[in-house]
Amino acid sequence: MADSPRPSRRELLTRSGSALAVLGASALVARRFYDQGGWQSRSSSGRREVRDFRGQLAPGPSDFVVAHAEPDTSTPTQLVQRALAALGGMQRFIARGDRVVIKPNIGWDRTAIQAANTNPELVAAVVALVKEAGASDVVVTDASCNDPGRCFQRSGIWTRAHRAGARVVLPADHRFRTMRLRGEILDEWPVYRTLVEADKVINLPVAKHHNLAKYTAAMKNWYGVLGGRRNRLHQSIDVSIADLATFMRPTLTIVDGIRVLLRNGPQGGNVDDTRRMDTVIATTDQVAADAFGCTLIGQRPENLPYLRMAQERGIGTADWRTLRPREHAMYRDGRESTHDLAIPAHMDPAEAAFLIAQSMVDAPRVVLA
Amino acid sequence: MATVRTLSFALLLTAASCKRTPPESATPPSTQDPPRTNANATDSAASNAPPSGNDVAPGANASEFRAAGRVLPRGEIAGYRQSGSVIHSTAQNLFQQIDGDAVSYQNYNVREYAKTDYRKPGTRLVATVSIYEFENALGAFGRYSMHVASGRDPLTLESQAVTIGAAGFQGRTQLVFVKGAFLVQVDLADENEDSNEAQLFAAAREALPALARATAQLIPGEATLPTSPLVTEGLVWGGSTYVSRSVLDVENSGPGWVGWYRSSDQKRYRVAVLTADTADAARAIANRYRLRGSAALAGTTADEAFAVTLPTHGETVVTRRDRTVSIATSSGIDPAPATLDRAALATAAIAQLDRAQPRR
Repeated sequence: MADSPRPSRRELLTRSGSALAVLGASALVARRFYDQGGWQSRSSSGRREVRDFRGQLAPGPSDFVVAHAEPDTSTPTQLVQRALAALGGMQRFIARGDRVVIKPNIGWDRTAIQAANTNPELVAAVVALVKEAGASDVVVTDASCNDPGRCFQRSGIWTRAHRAGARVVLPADHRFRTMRLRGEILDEWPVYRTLVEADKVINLPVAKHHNLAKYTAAMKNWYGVLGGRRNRLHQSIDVSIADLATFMRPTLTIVDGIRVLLRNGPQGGNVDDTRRMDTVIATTDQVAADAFGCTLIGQRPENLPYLRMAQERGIGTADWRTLRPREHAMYRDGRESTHDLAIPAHMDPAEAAFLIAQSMVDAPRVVLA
Repeated sequence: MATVRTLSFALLLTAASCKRTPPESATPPSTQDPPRTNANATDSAASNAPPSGNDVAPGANASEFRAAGRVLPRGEIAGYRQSGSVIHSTAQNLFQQIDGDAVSYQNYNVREYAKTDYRKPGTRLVATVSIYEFENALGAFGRYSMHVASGRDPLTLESQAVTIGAAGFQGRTQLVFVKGAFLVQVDLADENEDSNEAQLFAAAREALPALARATAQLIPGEATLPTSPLVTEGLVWGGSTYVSRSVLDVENSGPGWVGWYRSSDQKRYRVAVLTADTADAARAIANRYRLRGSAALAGTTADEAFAVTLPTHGETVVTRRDRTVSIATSSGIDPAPATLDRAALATAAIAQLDRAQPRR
């Protein structure tokens, strides 16, 4: 066995120095090239991370539709079918072979009548429309607030969506991974992969009162993308809502205003706190969806700081009048009408939205704030 | 040779740290584990069929009826059998159960939360009893009063009043009551997708009070409300409310009582009363309401009095005597009914001062 001479002190120091230098350099290289946005990142807006599922939209007659009906004259299926038709059809948004994820609000172990979750018939109708448009895979999912098994089942969404041909996926630990969202509040957070691994994402929230944020629907629905402990989010709820909407840019937003929770949200429970409004809002702009939708419960966009933040970040516009708005109305006598909404420039858009939103319901009980 | 080894090691290290797909997070999702029916969900549609779900699950173990859950009824009540586990939460984790609503409970110093289901065999009716235990009775009452007066005239609930606990009301699918440091909410739902609303409401009329009474019996202590400093004359049903912060939407006001009133000529108004530790602190509170355009009111028995127009409440009279601030304002009801004029508001505010902080 050959002798292996022990290195001299000088040689030891030189080797250690070299090793440290190489380690330092490798750390710098790693820092430079580390994939901070996570995989499958599509684009980036400034310093913030963005999941943009909008793609190149075919031109259509409108980018904002409100479909509503007089009491007892429609079903959720009819309303969403009319809304999508007025928007140019689901095929405008979904291409043949697309893998589509539909994100309703399935946050609560509540039934449909309690209006805390998205209406299950509406979810099933959207699944059907997406399948008709040629999607190869349709997933319905949400990261629930309450126990997912209870929420998916009690909401009725599990049964209805499954029957309509969707894959219903319940959240589980292995479906989350930490991503750097680079928001003001949301920096690094566990993200629900199922919701961002898709060609197209349809945001399908329910419009309702929220004790903390006043009103929530489209933008707040992205809380269902997150795992982890949400308490930090609620300390600055408006900023975190804006952060999430910055991160998630859906292909399409469809707001469920079939039955609306007017108070004691978000969990509700008392059917007396809800009101049938038989309304569906379909749009390409989630900010516009909330700016109009908040008037369903008598709120004004200017009372919702997250709308201002979203607009400042260029996520969308609170002025839904700029989106070639259309209305589809269904009347008791069986008449139906689709027409452009021409709002005078001098008219307060919140006032206009409120008048439109309340125009089909009996005995107005909501007053604009 | 040593340099080569070092470089190889460094290259491996670099490659590892440059991994394009970071490993999945070990951080648990906010949700609890999904039920076993879907734990191994695959990509086939057949694998994610919903469970039939109309069976009554076995009841919870005795050990689960702990903390706030100790006042949940066990066994069978009025044909509804306790089913499944008891869900628990501390105040800090409440947002994991009720999301943004947690803040409104934490503001009143909630301590513990528990809920469980009660199912009626042979049906898909499910009642859920939720228990919120607060640090004290004032916190429980305060959150209860917010439930009553949030976004509505509390008087509209008078026909729904129930004599369970210290105060409560019963809607078509929900009964809420308060007793001691406990706020209890009982909900009834029908998981049948073809459920009939009229049948659900009829079932709720029987099930909700039975479950609520069974719960109230398990809550120790007397069914009395916290002592209120509010003037009682003209106070409407449910009109005594305790606000943990931002009284009349003015930030950093501190806590206070707000009474909802109806005058003899059917005008509606509210009076808030806030008490500070010192006169200086009370002066600071009053100043939070002193907006541009406020006008001093002379000839009152208060140490200071002024009229101001609050953004969301309209004309308001603010008065202070020693450590107590009393504020009279509009009804807070939409659409707004007739309210008091400025002189009458001042009279109401002073009457409240006289009760809460008698003249020296």
